Amino acid sequence: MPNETLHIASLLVHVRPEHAREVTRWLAAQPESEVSAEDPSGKLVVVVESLREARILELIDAIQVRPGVLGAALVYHQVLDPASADEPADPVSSQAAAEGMPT
Amino acid sequence: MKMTRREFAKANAVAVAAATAGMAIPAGATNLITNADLTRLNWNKAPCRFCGVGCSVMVATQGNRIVATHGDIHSEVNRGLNCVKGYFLSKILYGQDRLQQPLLRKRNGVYDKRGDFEPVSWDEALDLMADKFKSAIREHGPESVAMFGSGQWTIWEGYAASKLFKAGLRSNNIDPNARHCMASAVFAFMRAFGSDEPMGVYDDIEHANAFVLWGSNMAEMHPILWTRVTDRRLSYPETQVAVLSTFQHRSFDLADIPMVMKPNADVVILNYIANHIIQTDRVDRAFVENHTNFVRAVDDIGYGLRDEHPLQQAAANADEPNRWTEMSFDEFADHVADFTLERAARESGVSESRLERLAELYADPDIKVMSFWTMGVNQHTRGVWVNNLIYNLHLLTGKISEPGNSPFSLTGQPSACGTAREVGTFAHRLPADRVVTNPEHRREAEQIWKLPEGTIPERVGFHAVEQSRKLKDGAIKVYWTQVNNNMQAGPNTQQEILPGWRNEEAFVIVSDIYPTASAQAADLILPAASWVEKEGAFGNSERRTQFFHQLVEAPGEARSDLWQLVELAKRIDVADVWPSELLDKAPEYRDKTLFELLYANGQVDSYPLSDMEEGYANQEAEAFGFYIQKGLFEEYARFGRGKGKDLDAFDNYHQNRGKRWPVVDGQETLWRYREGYDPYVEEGRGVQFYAKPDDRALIFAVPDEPPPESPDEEYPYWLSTGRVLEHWHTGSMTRRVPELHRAVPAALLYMHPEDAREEGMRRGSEVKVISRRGEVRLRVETRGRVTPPRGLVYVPFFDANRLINNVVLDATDPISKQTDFKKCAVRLELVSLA
Amino acid sequence: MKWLTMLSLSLVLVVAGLAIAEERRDDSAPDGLRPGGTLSQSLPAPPMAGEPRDAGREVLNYPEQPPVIPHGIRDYQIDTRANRCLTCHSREHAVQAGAPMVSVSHFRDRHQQVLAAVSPDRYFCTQCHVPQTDASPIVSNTFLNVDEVLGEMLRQQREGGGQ
Repeated sequence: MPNETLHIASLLVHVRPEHAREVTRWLAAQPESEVSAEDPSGKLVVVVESLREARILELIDAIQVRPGVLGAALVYHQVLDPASADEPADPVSSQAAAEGMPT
Repeated sequence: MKMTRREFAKANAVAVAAATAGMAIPAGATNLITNADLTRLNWNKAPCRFCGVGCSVMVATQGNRIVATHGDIHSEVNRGLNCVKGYFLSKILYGQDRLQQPLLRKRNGVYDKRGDFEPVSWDEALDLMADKFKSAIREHGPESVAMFGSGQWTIWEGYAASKLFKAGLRSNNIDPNARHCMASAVFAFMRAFGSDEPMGVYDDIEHANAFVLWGSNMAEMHPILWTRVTDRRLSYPETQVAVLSTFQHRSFDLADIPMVMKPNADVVILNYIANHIIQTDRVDRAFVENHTNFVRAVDDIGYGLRDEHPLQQAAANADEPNRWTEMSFDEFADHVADFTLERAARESGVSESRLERLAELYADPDIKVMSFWTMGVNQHTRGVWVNNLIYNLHLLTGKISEPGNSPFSLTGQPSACGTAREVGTFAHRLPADRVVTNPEHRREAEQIWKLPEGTIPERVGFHAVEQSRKLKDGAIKVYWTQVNNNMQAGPNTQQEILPGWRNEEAFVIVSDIYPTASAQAADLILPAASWVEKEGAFGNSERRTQFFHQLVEAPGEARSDLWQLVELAKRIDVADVWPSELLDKAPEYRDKTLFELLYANGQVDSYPLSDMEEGYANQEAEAFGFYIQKGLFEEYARFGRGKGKDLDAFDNYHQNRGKRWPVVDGQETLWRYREGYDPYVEEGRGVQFYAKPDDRALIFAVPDEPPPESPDEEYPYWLSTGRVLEHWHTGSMTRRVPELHRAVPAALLYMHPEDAREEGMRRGSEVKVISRRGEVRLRVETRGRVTPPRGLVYVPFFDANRLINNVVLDATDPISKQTDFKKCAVRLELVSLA
Repeated sequence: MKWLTMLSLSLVLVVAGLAIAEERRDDSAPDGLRPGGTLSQSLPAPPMAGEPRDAGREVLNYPEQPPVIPHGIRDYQIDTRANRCLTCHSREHAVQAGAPMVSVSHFRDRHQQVLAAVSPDRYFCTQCHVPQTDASPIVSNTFLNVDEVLGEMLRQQREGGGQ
């Protein structure tokens, strides 16, 4: 489908340390997201992966109302073409095509 | 194992977030590349390279390259937002034709003014420069050398240059390109308040209920401040936005009171509003009686043209335009009584109802009003007057130095405040508001700089426009420009600037990062380092000083402006450029170089390399063996500390997103001159304009005087020039970014469709714009972002191939010497219809 | 009288030549955005760049880059009365319009509070998003995005013996 896009985003979530385990467990159960990193001071990195852009916003809303959550911020947002998302990532990609060439 | 794109993107997402949070990157995120250091991007703060708003950005570097930037969410200024130019900062240093080696015009192996450029070594370039400076000073005196500096210099670059010229070479002929943008604002501040720079801050935006844009197009030129105004206006719909200009532009999209006025009518409108305030009895009597004086400004002051010009000959007070006499409130009221609503409407072309609504924004005591202005007011042959007229309104009503009530002079360049103005890199200035004409000020500087009395010359040097004229007349023999492009940005190119630079008598050196029009007209081109290729500091419009580290290396042999200045100083002996009488007073300098006099003077070189923050390169410090940026800054800061211009300690600035001076006991000052906010205000005083001897600000009575050149039969159109959002100044950086270039690829002639029809032109026609001074060819745009009224055309100056300044008149405000780029007379000639 | 004509003709040429020599201040110079050695000349103005065709989305150079506008926006109204962009790009309309929704980052205000609608400080889209004409760059840009830089570093690492 021509208009489908895959959204990869990461959120920085700040949790009170005493609630961290609970929030992490809840997050693990949320679809289309995973906790990728955490540190003892209560910071979590959550990666969101969805074909619906609105999912990111929904997740932020949901996280922010969890008890013990001090804040959730969107840090990174990239859009991929789902058709080619599972092809190997060649770092020197055809991104050069977008550089400086007339459309 | 090969990563898929999906996995790569996710790993990147994690790495960025973790880096932002200062967390260690988890192992899982690094399995795409074996070395974790590779995926971890280095993020560092830096102020944006562009305008005077002074947004902060986070810069990501990897492998000695900038790979991304984003708006710094921790900055009070922009809270994570940028404008389109800011979002493309990562690309501005990567134009293909970046200058990497010094280039000198040569014929048969030696320097020749008519020769072709050949690459040379730094040694050859600097040695030749030193010779040229020395011989010019020896044969023609220090008045024969000059420098054109910049509001885009870092603070210590400006300071080093100022010292080199005023103390080393003993010439006041150093002036910044800020003369073209902020000089009128500076002179108005000094004469009204005794101290430069705004008394308010950006926070006023979130407190004001009315905004008035006096000839400024904030939507395109100060976009992030505009987002804050937009936020305020859309969140609190009772807020009013008034926009006044000589043509309609994007800022009008938010206007509740849109006004298009005839050029130069701002004087009449502002006087009318003062009249309205007085007539409707809304003067804050107590404030006026306690905190202000009324003065009548000297009039008939000419236009800053060459002395021989008939307009100058005819002007009674062209020689001393910055004078005034005392007057009473009643006399002031009489003066403005002539400026009735009817007169203001008739002379400006703005309707009476709109003018009245505008006046009420000032007169109504319940409205907190913030006035904004930049080039429409400053680049004006009566720019100082107009600045004063705006202050008049805020002073008459007491709407000043408190949250929301704010006459806010917007600054154009990233460090016109921090460098050019505060360091004083002007032909008449010394650091921290001091002037060369004041013997006490000279003595203070000489003491801080450890120089004998009489070192700093008393005579005011050549300002920007004068420098072009003196080059043409053969009086300037050596001319060095850094971080500017006057061949494109200065007025009256073909009659004054180009013949000046190409005058056989002159040796012209241009330091830049790209081959600009100025570089093309130079004799020696020096490749410079830019932005985060060096450790630097900028000061923005709201007095916020912000630091940045060196994050990447400059390409090839490019070196920072600071390095160039200091290296030149090593090659000139004090004895080469100081007269023997002066040396006799300070024999310890007799066998020293300017480097030892100015930079290795026990102060500037007193901070060791170990003071530098770990993990950051610093090319200049490594080259010179001491933390030169810190040394220059701390020596410079001595001028302002305790004098109302206090800067914080050097080391602190690297740790925060800047502080607004005066910074006293670590505390920044938001509202100056108001008790409770400004530590310099004495207890119980409420408001105190302490930089004036009697603590009172001045309210100026000024008449209406016409511009030097208005449309007539032969040249029937007004020409106004300016910028567009996507391009910075002369476009040397932004036009090398593909996305910005493609957005606005060429300068166009914006004109009214009816005017085009009458001229037999249409959108897309090629047209010559001709004035008494020159011509330029442009394509016509009748449906663009700028909608001029009939009889006026607008052309932006970012396009090196459309030198609109060929056409612009080099008239200035006689007080500030700032060129009026907004008003001259042109005619149009069709070249081809399509 | 031919010699008189010749004389006056050559005088005219000499005078013109002198005049030209005086006028000529165009010493050679490297090309920049402007060709070198043309400062005294009034260069012809190239035809206006073409309106952007619907070119399709472009890959971003880095995550935070505001996407360029891949379609024309002539006469699009963005003022206090209406915002034309949001008629297609808002949350409510994006799906039906087939247009990307404004980035979720646009729903956060200055205080990092998430709002129900696009934050007012993001209202004027064209302060960050710009359309693209069909103009070619005058000078190319050597910017490398992070993938390219990492790839280069990885390649160097492998060639240097690897880890």
